[in-house]
Amino acid sequence: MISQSIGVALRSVWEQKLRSILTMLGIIIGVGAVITLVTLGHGASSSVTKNIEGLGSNLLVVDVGTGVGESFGGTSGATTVSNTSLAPPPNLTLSEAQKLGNIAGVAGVAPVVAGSGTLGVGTTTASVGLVGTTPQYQNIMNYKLQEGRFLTPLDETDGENVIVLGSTEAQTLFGAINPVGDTVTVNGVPFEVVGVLANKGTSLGQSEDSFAAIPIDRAESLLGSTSLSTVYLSAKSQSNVTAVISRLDQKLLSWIGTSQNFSVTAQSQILSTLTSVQNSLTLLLAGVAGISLIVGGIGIMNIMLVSVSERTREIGIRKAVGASRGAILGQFLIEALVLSGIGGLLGVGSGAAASVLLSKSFGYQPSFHTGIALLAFGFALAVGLVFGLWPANRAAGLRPVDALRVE
Amino acid sequence: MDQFIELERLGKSYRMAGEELKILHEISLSVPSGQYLSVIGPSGSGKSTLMHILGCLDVPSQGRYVLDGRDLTGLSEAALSQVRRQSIGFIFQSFNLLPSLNAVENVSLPLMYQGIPVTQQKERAEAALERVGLRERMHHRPNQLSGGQQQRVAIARALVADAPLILADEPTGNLDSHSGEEILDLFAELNAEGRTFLVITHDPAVASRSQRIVAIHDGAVVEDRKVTA
Repeated sequence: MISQSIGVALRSVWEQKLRSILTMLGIIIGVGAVITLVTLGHGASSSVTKNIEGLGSNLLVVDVGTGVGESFGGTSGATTVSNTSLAPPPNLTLSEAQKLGNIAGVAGVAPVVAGSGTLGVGTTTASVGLVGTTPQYQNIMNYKLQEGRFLTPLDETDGENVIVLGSTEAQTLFGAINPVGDTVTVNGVPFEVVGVLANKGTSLGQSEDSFAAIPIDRAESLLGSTSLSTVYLSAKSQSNVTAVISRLDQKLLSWIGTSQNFSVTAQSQILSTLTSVQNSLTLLLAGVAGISLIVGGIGIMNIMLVSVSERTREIGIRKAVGASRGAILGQFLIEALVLSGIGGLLGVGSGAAASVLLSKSFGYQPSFHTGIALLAFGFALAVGLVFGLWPANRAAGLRPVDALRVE
Repeated sequence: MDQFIELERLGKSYRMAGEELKILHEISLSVPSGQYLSVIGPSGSGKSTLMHILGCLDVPSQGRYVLDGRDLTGLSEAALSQVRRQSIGFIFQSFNLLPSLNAVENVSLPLMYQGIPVTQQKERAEAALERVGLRERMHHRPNQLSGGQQQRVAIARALVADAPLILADEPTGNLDSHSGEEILDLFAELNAEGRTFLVITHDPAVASRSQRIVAIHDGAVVEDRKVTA
């Protein structure tokens, strides 16, 4: 009897094709939107996570400079600002930075002197970020080599002018040719290219491949700067990152004197902040899409009410030949469920298609979450059930004699 | 003979705009099993209301209704729908077939509501259609059938569940006289097989085909006589 009722419901949905499709549209859009938005949200988070993990999830960054710690310090008030401006500019020397490597839990340290310079090969020039650093930079920042080698301890001691190019710079200056062994000028000084880094992509909108690395002492003389702005460190494991941060804080505080002038940031903190922001954004979007599902449910209720009044005579006939109240209730409920169920299935299909297409165009890993699809489909059915109940109950409650009198 | 239908001082009234409108006044009537009875009366006499109450589509305001030894007074809607399902077959003036279903499906409806398996529904519906002479048109929809054929589908629907009581409300009202005669011939045959027939009409020619005529006027029985052949 139930399978027969489903058959009857499918038939009446089929006989009113246009109306049924318009009714289902709300559910289709709702389910499709929930699936697409959640999938894109996950895609965005995982692509951000991948980017940041590419930087090294054990990465710690020490920034030194006037006021850099203020946004993190949280000690407020005008006194702090005036103290800072009166204090001499903070300075961290190369040997102090190397000492940070001896702190318990730190695996590697790469001090950085950064500035910009002009690279030239023949008549081609490019303005790039110059990174003066030590050999450990490659491991701490998770770079792979495409050609040649990275800086070595020997480069620091023997004073040779060597340079490692980021993949973007190698492409700009040399095109498809392997530049290892060739010479580039940096602000007019010739350097031998010893290696090219492999492509790493972008992180938080910034290219990771557009820079050139030279030994730190060469950068100091070339840029005329001896103060370190940034020190990159890697923790031995992600679990002791917090402990390492507090030890770094203490050490730097004893050297620099005020916590307003330095900051220690862990990549994992940024990661977890970003992930939680992404997750709440995804949830918000899914909620908005969920509202359209409820609106779709109201559409179903509307059409079911119209259908009940149009089919009053049919209800009377069915009751006259022996249909009980429950049978009529069931018929109309099944019809509402068939509408929302078919709408839900079409929504899952269109949501999956939209997810794949949009993920591809945004460059995310296309993924399909069965759990979300089931949840959205189940929600669509529940919406059909809830909003079908009232019209179905109204149909079932009609008195047979009244229903038969309607022409 | 058993009294198949017994009405005791049955009344029906509606409240309209605060005024009580009496449709039926204390009707008492006994119908033995297997009788072919006509109820005649002009329009507005209350004969349709009487049929609705007899068919359990409506409930009386007062009095008692006993069908086949069972007192139906005060039964719930669920219980009344069961009585309709098992004991009563309806034939209406306007046929009341579902336009989206074909003949077999229309005839199967009462069996579907009895929870009978689909294959049996089909067999019995086909047998009932064959009985009313519509074997060739089983898969036609109502709009592909003539009025007389549609009424025969409705008769098959009333027969299919083996209901002992057939209620017909102006069964020939929408038919030409030839088709009407065929329908009345069929009634006589089916009555001869033992079913109780109660036909409501305003047409004396239709009433004259039955065994007994009860005339109603303004909600009360004014005449009750046997038809002499």
